Amino acid sequence: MQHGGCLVVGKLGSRRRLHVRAKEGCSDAIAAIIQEKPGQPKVVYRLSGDAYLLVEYGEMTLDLDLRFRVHSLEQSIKDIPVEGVLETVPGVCSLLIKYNGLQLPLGRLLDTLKSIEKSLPPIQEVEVPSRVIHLPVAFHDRWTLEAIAKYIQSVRAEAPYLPDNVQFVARCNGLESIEQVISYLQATQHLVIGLGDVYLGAPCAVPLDPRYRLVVPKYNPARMYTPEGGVGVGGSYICIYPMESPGGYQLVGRTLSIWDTWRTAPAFAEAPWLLRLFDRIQFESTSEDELLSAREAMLSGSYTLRIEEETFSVKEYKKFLDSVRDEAETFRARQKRAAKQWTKGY
Amino acid sequence: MIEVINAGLFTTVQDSPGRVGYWNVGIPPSGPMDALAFRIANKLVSNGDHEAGLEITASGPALKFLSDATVALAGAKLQGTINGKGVPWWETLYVEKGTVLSLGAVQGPGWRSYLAVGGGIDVPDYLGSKSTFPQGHFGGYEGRSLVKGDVIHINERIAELHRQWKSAAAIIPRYETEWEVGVIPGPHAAPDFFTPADVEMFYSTQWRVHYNSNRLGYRLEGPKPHFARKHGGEGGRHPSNVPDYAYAIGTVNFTGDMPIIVTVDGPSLGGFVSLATVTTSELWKIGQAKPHDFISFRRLTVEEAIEQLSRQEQLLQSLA
Repeated sequence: MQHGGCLVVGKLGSRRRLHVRAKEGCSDAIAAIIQEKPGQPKVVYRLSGDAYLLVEYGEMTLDLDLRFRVHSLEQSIKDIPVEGVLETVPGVCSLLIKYNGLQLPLGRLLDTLKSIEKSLPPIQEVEVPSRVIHLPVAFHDRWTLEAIAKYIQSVRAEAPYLPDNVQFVARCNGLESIEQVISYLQATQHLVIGLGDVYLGAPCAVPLDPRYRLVVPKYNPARMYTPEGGVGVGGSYICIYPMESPGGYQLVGRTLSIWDTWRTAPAFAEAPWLLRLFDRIQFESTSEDELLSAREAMLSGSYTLRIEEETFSVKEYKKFLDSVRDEAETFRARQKRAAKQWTKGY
Repeated sequence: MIEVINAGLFTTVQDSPGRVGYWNVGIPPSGPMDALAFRIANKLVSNGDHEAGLEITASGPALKFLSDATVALAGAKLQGTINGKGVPWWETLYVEKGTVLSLGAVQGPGWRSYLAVGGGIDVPDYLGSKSTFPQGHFGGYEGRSLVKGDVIHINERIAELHRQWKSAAAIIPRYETEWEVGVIPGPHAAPDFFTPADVEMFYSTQWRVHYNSNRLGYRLEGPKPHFARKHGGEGGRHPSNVPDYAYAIGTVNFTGDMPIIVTVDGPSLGGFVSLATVTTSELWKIGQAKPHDFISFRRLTVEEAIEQLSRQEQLLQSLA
């Protein structure tokens, strides 16, 4: 059968058939493709079993434009709503759609999605509700160092990121000191572009100011233990760990709980997870003792999180990016030189 | 009420389809690893699909019934006795107050067994489900697997109305140690992520189930793929890396060189390519595959998979 010019083959194809597909650059995992044109990013509809479809935009890059396109699509599916669609889950540049194939055949879902594509607003016009959430962080703290010590003891004794992850972040990014890393982490807000990475409302967030966008490789192999509330950097993302768990991000500090199963604290009145998509996290350095009191106060309901309700405008953000372009370029060049030197033999 | 005299290896309260609707914040659905056997068990005691039952892994609990109950056992057959006699499987069973059901190790193929109780197990709902997610410490019985001394409540109801003996003998799924599992290629296949040779290797390999396989994921041992790309671009250094995206339950994910099937307690987001995804009607087989069993994958189209799913649903309805 035919979907958008892309062959969908059943049983294991013959060698010749595989060869033909390879030549066309098309795979039997792809149900349809929309090519890029002005105002329309490339869309690849990837099969993900008989109950899910993965809609992917662009060329698999971290591009906030694509993330907002994903959001527009998700909103549109919810607003219509499309009967037979059960759940949607956004990723960095893709949307996973769970559907009931007994009720909604794949062909009809594809037709609906393709027609939605034509009605999506231009990226520059996208504005989303976005809260600024101020989170106190004890950077380079004893819990972080304790987790690293456990790793050294039980998993791997020597690695470029040992014995001090923050030191490693500094080296990888051409920064001079631990203090400088800490100031960079507070110099930019971090935009939440994914939730549940990994589990229970954990944010996948990107630094909005490219002049302070730290990039660092992840652990290899992963840690067996990370403290709840741990703040990590991996690739160009930051993450907060909602529960004690394994993890692979470089640990830089610890903050408040972002998950509360029994919703005892006022910040969790609506849901057991604290953060929402497109929240902007603003880290604020605090001492270990102050963090401990804040964590306790949060549990007893006497801690008030500083939250500002705002919107995020793509147009405004682009203006900002233009204004810092040269400085961002300078930092990127410095990062590249440093990364080459320090991640050798990683 | 049921008293847990012995908990077994890993026994949890689950319901079907579990805690759905929260995959977008990283809360897994949980629920039975073998939803087919679970649903059959529920039908045998005239429960709706959503009623909670027990999932038993590898070795069963000993349970004392503190009230009369209608129960059914399905899934992998366990050694065991009820009031000193053999335990019937795949059929409705009436137990009187004081009865002790003592289940032992798994006998033959399969890995997970299900106990349904007429009326369902009564634990509080958490986010709309009674399923246990032990890693998050919520759902089920106090957010954990059962331990000795727990007392489980049953939803009391007019038992007589539902006292209808049923047997699932005609539709017992076949359990094996070498499983052939239907999958649909993707989301990331050849030629863009894997070489055509990798794909051929994937479908012709008998993958061995790694001992470290559980409700979060099933690890598979076998040959290593070569990958079509040299590195993961912006996703990371390894060619198995892509920018983070949401996984389908049942997707066969390559974290580095090792395939892991994402299962019901698995992570929602991650940055590793997935070569194929197990179809809905075949997912139960993963739940019944035990460590060191073999799994091979058979390619299906979406249409074939939906046809199979439709037939399976009809079969289940025949028990209603």
